[in-house]
Amino acid sequence: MNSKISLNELTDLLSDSAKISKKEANAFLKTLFDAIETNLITDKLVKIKGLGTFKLIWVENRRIANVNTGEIQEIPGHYKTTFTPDADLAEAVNEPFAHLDTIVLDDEIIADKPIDPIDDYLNELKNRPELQPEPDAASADSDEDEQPEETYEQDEEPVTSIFAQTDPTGGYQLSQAQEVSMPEEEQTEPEAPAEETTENGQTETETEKPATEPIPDAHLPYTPPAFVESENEQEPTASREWSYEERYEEEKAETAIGETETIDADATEQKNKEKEDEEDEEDEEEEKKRSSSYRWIIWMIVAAVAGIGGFFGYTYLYGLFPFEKTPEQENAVIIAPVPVVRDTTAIQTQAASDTTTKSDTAQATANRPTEPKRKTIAETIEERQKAVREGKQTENQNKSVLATEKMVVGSRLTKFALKYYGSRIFWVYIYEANKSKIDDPNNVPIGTVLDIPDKSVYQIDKDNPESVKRANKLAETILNTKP
Amino acid sequence: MNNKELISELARNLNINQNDAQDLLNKCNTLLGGSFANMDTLSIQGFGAFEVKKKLERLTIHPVSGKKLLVPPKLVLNFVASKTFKDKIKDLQPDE
Repeated sequence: MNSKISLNELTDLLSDSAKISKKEANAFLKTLFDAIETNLITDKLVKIKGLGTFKLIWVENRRIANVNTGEIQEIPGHYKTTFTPDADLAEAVNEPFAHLDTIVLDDEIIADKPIDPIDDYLNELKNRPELQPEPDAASADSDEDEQPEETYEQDEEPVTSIFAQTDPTGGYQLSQAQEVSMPEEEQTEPEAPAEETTENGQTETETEKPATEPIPDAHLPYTPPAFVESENEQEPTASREWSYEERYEEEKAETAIGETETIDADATEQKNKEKEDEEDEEDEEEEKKRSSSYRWIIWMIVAAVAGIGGFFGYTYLYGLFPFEKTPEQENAVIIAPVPVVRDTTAIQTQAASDTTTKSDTAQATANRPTEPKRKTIAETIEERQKAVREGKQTENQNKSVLATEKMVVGSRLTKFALKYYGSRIFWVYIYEANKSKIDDPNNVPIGTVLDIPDKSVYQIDKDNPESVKRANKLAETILNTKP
Repeated sequence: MNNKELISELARNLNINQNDAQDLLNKCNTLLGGSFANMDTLSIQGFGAFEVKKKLERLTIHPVSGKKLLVPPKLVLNFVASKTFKDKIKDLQPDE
């Protein structure tokens, strides 16, 4: 075992086993190895059955660098001796480990790392809806968790269908409302005020329609999605930061509807438009008055309400009460969950103030399907442009002006467009917004201070081919009319 | 040179018949096999040494299937030529 044996010991062993004299054994072994040696040198190969194969292998000359000195030396070609044991012998030698086999390792262990990013991604997906409502919502209410999930599910179904019918940007409003509340604010502002007036008690006849139409919106499809929707829309309201709570509660419901409504209300659009413009001004004045201290309070309230609403909505959606699908508010109020009652009562009180509530709603429901719900971009733009034009420049500046630029040597409208909108073609809107100051778009006097309108005012989106196309068209008309 | 040639040469050099030579060779080989299996080291003066070495287990990746394989340890018989033998073949040049 593990001992060193020499030729002498091997001779002893051989003489014992072959029953020959040690002399003979010694002679045999000597001749054996001599023969191997000499034949290896002459033949470069000696095969011995039961032992193995000796080979002399030629190694070409090669250069090596001395590790210490870096000197390059050349090793001349030479032979090296190799020995490959016979299969039987190798097996016999390897006996202690013969039972071991090569093991294929589990893929799971190898796949360890690739799996991780996927998990992360899934977690991200899970977390995202929670984050969406607003940052403080997560801490505000544990119920919050249920709500976003639920809204997520609902999103895919009828809600999107409702949104799909609205203007193209509407489809993104769910997420936009939460992530980018500022643009959302701007989007809703021209529209939402229409409802405010109903409360502020403007002329009944005019306000009736906008007031009543929301109701079918909220109740007629009073399937879960509609409810969820109204929940979602709390955020835009929050961004508008109403200073008193009661009003906020009511507004919440209205703006919620307001978004879908304004789009639905194509029929009454003409009427609303005028109003909206007026309201725009009012709204902005209010905005200025608001102090930042209120913001936090309101955000918190929104978070809490959203959470509670989400919880109740969740329980109701999953079947405590079958929802009535009639447009009658009474039913809706009775069956509506607590937070929703607030919303619906808000609507109801409003609606109740109208004498023609029921007939109107009925009418509205009847009309609704036939009403053109799609509001094309062009229409919204028209509306907004009107708002910009008619609204006083100074007041609109906050929301419609992205920045101001002074024309200096080398300035071009297209350069500004490229800077702010990402594409030169949108220079037309800068021109459009500054028409009063610019006579010739190709030659704007140096020193002119230009207002760069916000993207949302003209629906500027360099990735949207429709938007680009529109800008092109506008450019053509501008350039053709100008000498 | 193959086994037959070796045996005939052995028989010629030792003045014994080929069968005896073959017997002796076989016996010698079984002896060697037995000692190698015991992890003995055999060193032959002027020629070289046979020794058994343990190769440790290792991980490899199958180049085709890409699967990771755990190769078990094994014992391998090695031959190391002695200095004298190396000197003998040192000046040897390939025939071609």
